Amino acid sequence: MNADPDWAWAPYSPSAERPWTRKLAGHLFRRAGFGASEPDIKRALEEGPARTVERLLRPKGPLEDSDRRFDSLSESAARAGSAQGVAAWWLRRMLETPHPLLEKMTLFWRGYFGVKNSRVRDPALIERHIRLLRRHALGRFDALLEEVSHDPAVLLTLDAGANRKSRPPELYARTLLEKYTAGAGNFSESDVRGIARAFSGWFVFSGGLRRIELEADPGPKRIFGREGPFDSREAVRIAVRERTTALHVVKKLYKFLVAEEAEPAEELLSPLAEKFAAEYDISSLVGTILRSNLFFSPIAYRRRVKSPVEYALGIARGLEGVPGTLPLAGALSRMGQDLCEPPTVEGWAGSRCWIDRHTLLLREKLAAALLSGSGGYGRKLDPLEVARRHGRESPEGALEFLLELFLDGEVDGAVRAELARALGALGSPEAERAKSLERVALRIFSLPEFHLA
Amino acid sequence: MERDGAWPKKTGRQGAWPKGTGFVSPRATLPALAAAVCLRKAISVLSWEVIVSSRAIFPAFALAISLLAAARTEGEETPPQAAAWIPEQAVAALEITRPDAILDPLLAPGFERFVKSLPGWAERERDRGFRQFSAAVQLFEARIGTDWRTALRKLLGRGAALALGPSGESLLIVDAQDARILAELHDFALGIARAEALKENAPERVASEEYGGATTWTLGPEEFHAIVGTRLLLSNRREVLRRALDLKAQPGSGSLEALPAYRAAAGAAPKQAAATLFVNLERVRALPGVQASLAQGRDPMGSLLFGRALEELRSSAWLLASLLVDGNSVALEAAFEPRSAADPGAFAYATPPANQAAAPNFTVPRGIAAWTLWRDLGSFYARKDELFPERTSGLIFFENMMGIFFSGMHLAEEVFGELGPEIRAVVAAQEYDPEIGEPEVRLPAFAFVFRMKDPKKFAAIAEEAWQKAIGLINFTSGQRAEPGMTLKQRVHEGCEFTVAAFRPPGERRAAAETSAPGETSAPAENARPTEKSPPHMRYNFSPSFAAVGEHLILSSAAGLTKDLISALKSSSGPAPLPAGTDFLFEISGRPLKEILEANRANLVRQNMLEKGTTEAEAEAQIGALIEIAGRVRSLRLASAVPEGRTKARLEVEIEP
Repeated sequence: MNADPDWAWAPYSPSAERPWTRKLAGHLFRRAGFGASEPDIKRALEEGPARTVERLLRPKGPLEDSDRRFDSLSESAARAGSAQGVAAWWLRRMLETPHPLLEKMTLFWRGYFGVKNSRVRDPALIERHIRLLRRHALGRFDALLEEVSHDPAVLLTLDAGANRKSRPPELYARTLLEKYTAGAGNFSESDVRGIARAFSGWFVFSGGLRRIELEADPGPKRIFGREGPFDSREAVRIAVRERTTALHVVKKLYKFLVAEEAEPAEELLSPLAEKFAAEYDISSLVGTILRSNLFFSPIAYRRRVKSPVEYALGIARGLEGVPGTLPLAGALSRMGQDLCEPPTVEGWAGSRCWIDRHTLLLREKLAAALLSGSGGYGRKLDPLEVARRHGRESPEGALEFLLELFLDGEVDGAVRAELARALGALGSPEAERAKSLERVALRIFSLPEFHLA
Repeated sequence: MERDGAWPKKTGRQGAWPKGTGFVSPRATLPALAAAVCLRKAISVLSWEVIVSSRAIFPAFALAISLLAAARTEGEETPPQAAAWIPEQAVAALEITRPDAILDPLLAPGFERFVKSLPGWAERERDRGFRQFSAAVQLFEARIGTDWRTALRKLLGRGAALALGPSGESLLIVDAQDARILAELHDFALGIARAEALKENAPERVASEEYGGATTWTLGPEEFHAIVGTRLLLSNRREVLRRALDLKAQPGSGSLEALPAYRAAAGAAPKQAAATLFVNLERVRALPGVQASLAQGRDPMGSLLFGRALEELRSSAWLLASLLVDGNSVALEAAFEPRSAADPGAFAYATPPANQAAAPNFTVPRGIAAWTLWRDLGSFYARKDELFPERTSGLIFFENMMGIFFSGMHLAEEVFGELGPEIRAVVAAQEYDPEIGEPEVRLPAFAFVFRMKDPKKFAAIAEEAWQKAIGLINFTSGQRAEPGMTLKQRVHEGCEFTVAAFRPPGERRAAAETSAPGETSAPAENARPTEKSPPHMRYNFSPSFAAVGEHLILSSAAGLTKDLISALKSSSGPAPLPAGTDFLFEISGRPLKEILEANRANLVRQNMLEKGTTEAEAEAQIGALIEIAGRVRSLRLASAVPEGRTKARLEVEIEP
């Protein structure tokens, strides 16, 4: 990655050479949300990139009602002991939220911390963990980490539910340093011991966190060269302020929002990391990335593999429908993205790990089920109906509509011709027209371009 | 014309039903007609163009149209039984022999009022397709000068039959009563078909030809019909229709009516049956999907509950289900005839000896469902290796756990062998302790009641096993830092019983907040549920154990245990069941409605997640479900083994 950092992070400004197009708007919505509907794209094209990014970061209008409603629905699923229900409400929220970037960032932090329900064994704790992530998803990283590090779900996942001073939670401390803050190779065994001792005295009982002072270690600890009788919160603050932490976070976010295959050069990320280390403002960091020249360049365009969630919700958002998210949560789990159960504490590996022969087949089956309404999804997604709603009723118009909506109109000529041929065979009765367009949509959803975000 | 072996070969799409185009499929026709029963009459008349543009109305009228043409070609002489024209290759045939018995309750004002009172009705009325359909019905009523109810009675007046072939073929036969209405309807429908083709700029779809002395018509792909007298024949395959006309021309061999299995089944049908469903099980078993299913191993629980009936079905040549309608009661009786009577030894565990039957069900307050079985668990379990040669993981787990609870005792002889064959279960809504409050999800309580052969010996063994199970649950909860249950002795009507209960949430909270020296609770905002949260779901459970005389009660809740103790101690019990009854399952509609109502919010949320519905849509769907549950006074499913043969009967009683 040899981009000039000054150019890379400068805000993108449309020009004759690099105009603001549907292609770039679609790219923005795929990364900063879960895909776009036709009205989303049209509005973005009218507003331009700067205003669109601003709206994604800070949507106008009251969000409290939506938040309250989904919090309550999700909580009730958790109280009923249904992890699948918690996942399903989150998927529904991702689809209907007026603030998709917040949900996207919540998903990012969900993978970052990798809490597993199989370790926690309490959907209510998972639900509260997700709510915690959402509360800080675009807030301050230091506040996020301070709360997450004391979250019962995180402690239970890392086998740190009972932290006695005779056996401080070293696995937990190591994970906090390696995965959450400084990064691998940037801490010593003394730092691990210091953090572990600082966390002694914390216990998880009946889903709540309790401090038992008799089991706490009040003695002096040495963490990143600093010495003192640090408690757990002070220890976390020290770890957050460690020089490499900001770079560690920026790198992970770069891979989530920009490109995941090529390893970014440290010089490229340094300006972002320095700015981030000054105030740990996640929103500002995300805004800088989403507004940047680099984000709207070929270095980022179609340089990520869609996760199963992005794949499925991209279809649903584009077709402006809400399928049953309970069966969807199950299907996504089978593709490797159980929202309550990341495969490891490192979250989802992503990238090419999402795709193999088996998961590709599952993706195609899911797309077919979503369109046909089989598998309990209900017939909520109708390509012909959506094309007609946007004034593209003719076969050619409907095909072009789908290509623009789902592939930004960026598709190989041979593929386009093949799709046109498939559509050309459609008969006149409406049911046949709908089926024919459904088949073409399925073909689009199986194209490599559609699997890329 | 093919007469050998298979149902006449089809052309066009394999096994597909017509969907939304052309003529109506039989599968779509009957619901469409049933829906018509619920239509509101007074709807503003729409223009002809609007009517013909509605694809929803076309299928519903297509059937009637074809009926109509019957009157034109021939007179009104009574045709032979429908089965005489159904090819013998049919897999199943549904015959409505007393249409009035079915139409009377459906067309009664009370039923129409009920349908219109359903929460989803108003939304349905706003639906564009439905409004067009209603308008078309009204237009037709004006044309024929009578209301749709009368027209429907005349159309279906002499009965109907629907036969299905092995590869998705179908043949619908309708015997109409009134020639004039048919003629009107025929013109009406042809007009629609032609207008629709014109509107879509499509070629003429209506075509006809002569075959077997009758005119056959097609109004679109996969739709072929003919009119013979007052009889309509409608199929999705041209070959099937022709085969039926062949049978008309040459009655006798090759028809379903001539098939020995059909004749045997017809002989078993009650005379007062309003409809019968004949299933040729030989042909069903030959279907690839069924073969695969039959090749699968047996499920232990399925075998215990329905083992005998399932085994007999596996060898029976046919199944006949008869629908009986009597006032507000609807019953479905199933009969079948195994090639050889089941091995008496093999199913002794499920066959009550002469003059014996399962014990009558318990009646408890707020009872939702109850079932009773006559099953000798000891002899059933002794045959497990024979019944389940492939040991499932569930069975292995069950045996491991039972080994722990019963300290390695011989399950068949020393555990199940100690129980009598009378097994009963009850499900009832709960009353919650006001101190605890109602959990957000209110689960009904359930209980099993067994009879002990030697209560003095076995009651203590069973209680020890039960306490071990509670201990295991507590231990597992403790591993997760979750609360456990404490055991308490209680007395009800002089009978001592044991309850395992969770401490009330208030008590738990108080204990948690009274920190020991050196303890503080976490300041984290999300650390603990708020005071306002409803009690945890665990408060639906207070597992209980009671030994009442020779009876053993294992219940999920103390309240139900008390009710069962009262029932067992009551001197006036329900009447014994008829001899031979080995299974009876009963549901009471009103308590079912009440528990659904109590969980309405949860059901709505679940519906939203499962189906992607909006809150309003989910409310409407769940509301309809609750209303329907409230209309069912009772549902009973019983099976008996009179004279060594299994008979099953499902009976539903509707609130008037």
